[in-house]
Amino acid sequence: MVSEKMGFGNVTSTLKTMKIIDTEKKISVLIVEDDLLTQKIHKVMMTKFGTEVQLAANGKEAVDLFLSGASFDLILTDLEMPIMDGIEATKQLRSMGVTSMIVGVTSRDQDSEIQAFMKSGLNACYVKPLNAEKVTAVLNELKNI
Amino acid sequence: MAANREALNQQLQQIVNSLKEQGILDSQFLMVHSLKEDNNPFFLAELIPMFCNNVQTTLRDLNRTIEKEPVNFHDMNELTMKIKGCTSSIGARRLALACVTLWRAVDNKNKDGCISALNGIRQEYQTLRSSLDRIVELERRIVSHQA
Repeated sequence: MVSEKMGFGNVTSTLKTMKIIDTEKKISVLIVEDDLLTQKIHKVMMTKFGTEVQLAANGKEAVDLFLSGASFDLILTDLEMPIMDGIEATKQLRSMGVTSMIVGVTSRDQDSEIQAFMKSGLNACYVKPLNAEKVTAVLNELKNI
Repeated sequence: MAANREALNQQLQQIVNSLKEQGILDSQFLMVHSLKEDNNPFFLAELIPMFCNNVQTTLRDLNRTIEKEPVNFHDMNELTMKIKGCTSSIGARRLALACVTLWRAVDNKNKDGCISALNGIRQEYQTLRSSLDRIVELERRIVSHQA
């Protein structure tokens, strides 16, 4: 099993508690996840971080949202989903010109699997579970862009 | 009323601390528990039954898949990742580790290893389940005292 992989460097945050990131406007987040339990946890977590959250149950729903004119600052996407997985969804979104930060959140932890997911166009990729430290790192990185 | 709620909270804390000390739950569970808000006090009491349903359904599918000949290890892989994901997301540490054992057996296409690992997952889930039921009961009683 490999250690956590990130697209933008090492996590140095040692925050023990959740912090609301200070931004002028609410960060909009699209959570792309087919598992209802994980959807619920991620949605409540991201809301508690002060972001505005929308859900998509698979990659196709995410792509369709962008095709309908929606936009999000951040996309948190699972890898394995029915209809369209995270790799295909990320490739399509990037080919559509979507420049949102896209972060993979997956149960897969083998180096080759993470690399394959990253190659689709992710900014970063985490192995589940998504926790306060990882969310803080992502939102701080987003704030710095 | 406040004293009763306090006593219930202490009971809940003791159970969670004990499970954490045994390595059955980890800090992810504490984080998930902290997501409970005033406008959704039943958050954990709703989440735990969802989790249990997830695990039971996926275990059933895993059992069906391993019993077929030949074994479809691709399907086993996907189902293993599914159960691994939800167990780690809720902070069920020992159960998540048991899922890793299953993943290794699936990756090695070792049917006997898979069967053994599935038995391990079932045992860990049974150990966890009774404590989770107690946590849900306490959560509901705490919320009813707050109402």
